[in-house]
Amino acid sequence: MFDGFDALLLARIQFAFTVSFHFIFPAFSIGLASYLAVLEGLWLKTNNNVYLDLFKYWRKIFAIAFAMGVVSGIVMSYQFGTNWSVFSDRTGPILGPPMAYEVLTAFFLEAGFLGVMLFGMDKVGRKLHFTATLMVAIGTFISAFWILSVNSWMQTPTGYEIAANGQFVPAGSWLTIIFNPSFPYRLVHTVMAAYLTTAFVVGAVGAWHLLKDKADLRARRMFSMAMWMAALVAPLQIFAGDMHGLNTLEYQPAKVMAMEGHYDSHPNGAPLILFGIPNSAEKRVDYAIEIPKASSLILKHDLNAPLAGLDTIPEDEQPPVGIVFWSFRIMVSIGFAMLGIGVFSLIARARGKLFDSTWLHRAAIVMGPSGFIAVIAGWVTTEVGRQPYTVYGLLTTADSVSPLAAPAVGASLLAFVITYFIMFGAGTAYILKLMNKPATGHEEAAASGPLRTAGITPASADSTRRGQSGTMAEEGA
Amino acid sequence: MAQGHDDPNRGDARPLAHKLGWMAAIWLMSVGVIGVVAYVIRWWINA
Repeated sequence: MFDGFDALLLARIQFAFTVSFHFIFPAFSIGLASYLAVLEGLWLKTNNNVYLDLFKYWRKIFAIAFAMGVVSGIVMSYQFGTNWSVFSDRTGPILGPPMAYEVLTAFFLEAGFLGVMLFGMDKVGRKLHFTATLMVAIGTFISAFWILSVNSWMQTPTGYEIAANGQFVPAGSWLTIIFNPSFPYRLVHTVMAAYLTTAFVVGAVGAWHLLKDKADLRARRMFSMAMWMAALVAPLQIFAGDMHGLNTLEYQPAKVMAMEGHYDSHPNGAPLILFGIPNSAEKRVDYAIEIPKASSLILKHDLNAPLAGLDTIPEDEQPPVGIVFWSFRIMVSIGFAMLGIGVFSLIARARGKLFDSTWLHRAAIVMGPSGFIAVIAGWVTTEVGRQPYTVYGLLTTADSVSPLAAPAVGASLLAFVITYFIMFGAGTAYILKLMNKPATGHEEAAASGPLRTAGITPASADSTRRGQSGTMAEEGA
Repeated sequence: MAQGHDDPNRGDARPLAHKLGWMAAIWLMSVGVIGVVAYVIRWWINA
């Protein structure tokens, strides 16, 4: 069935497919873990049960997303051994330890304290429970730290020497390896992307329930928090992305040339191509809509600064332009759309219409999955832009693959496609089902719980809610 | 999740030693379950 295929291409498709699926879940759980910590912290600080209700609502969703992230992540590690054994052998002495630290973090911080977070509320009390939630949030961040350090080393390798057997081995301080040149930028950009992804999911869920019931206190609170995140973090993310781009220009100029669609060098200022169709056969961008000299202004802060093009890079060292060009534009477009929603929400908030603006709520729902698309587009930009290398400038992708026959890789790829769509499809459907339900208060949950045969009769849901959760006027603040 | 299972007042009412004991026990069980799963996968791959 796969006899006509190339094992290298199939291995690349397999990794791209599995990592794209995987990335969705940590992108969500990194942000959601921090959101849960914020919600529980606010509950402890204010004693407002709306925060506790929201915490319980999102905790269940977090647990499912976290589990799917772990399962899909394990597959990634196995592929290092099955499909990319040469890469693993060559880079193991450098990349093995940080990846081991990531596993230890995931084991002992995230998974360990997740148990306490899910099942320990009535066992350990508020403060220890909050400590567990913080440990989970910190654990997700530390996991991201190590994984992004590994990925960044593949983009901008430093602190290594090549041993006689061809392996990359540490030379000097490990800090040089961990804090390689692109790592700080990638860490900030990716973690903020995760926060924005989560904020837009939370915002969409809040907006969905506000469209059904504008008086829903919990929907109001989650929507308000999400819109603050959009308004504050989206501009910071655009700034961080710009800084990351400048760093990429310094260390991986060919990637930036592909992102910009610059086949030719521009000695007197390069245009910013907003849209167009890259034509790699003819080495030009067809139907280009461009702003003269703007690319030089953005990348060099000088309208007339010369910018080299792909014509300065040997043909066999160039990344595929079309994919990088488009994925970059998708990511940037979504970033600015997120900024637009943030500004829209600020205007609505200033006018006292945050919870009444149907158009804002609809727009927030449309933007709900945008973070996932943006992080995958960004990941495609950086990974495809690194081609034809796995370790930039040092080890090619073609030299990294295992000596496998195409049918072996193809069969496992087929198995992954079928399994992933069934398993993660079911998981995602369940998450969407949970999101479709409104966040209920503990008093509603108590009302639907076991019958009380003695003791104090619970107050009505309405009166309890007002007494414990604040008034509608407070929600609007 | 049942409400009683999630009642923070029940947790707060326990002595500190009990709370810490529960914290350690749940943490160990969580890590232990993943450890068993990892061991089984490792055993399966090496079989």
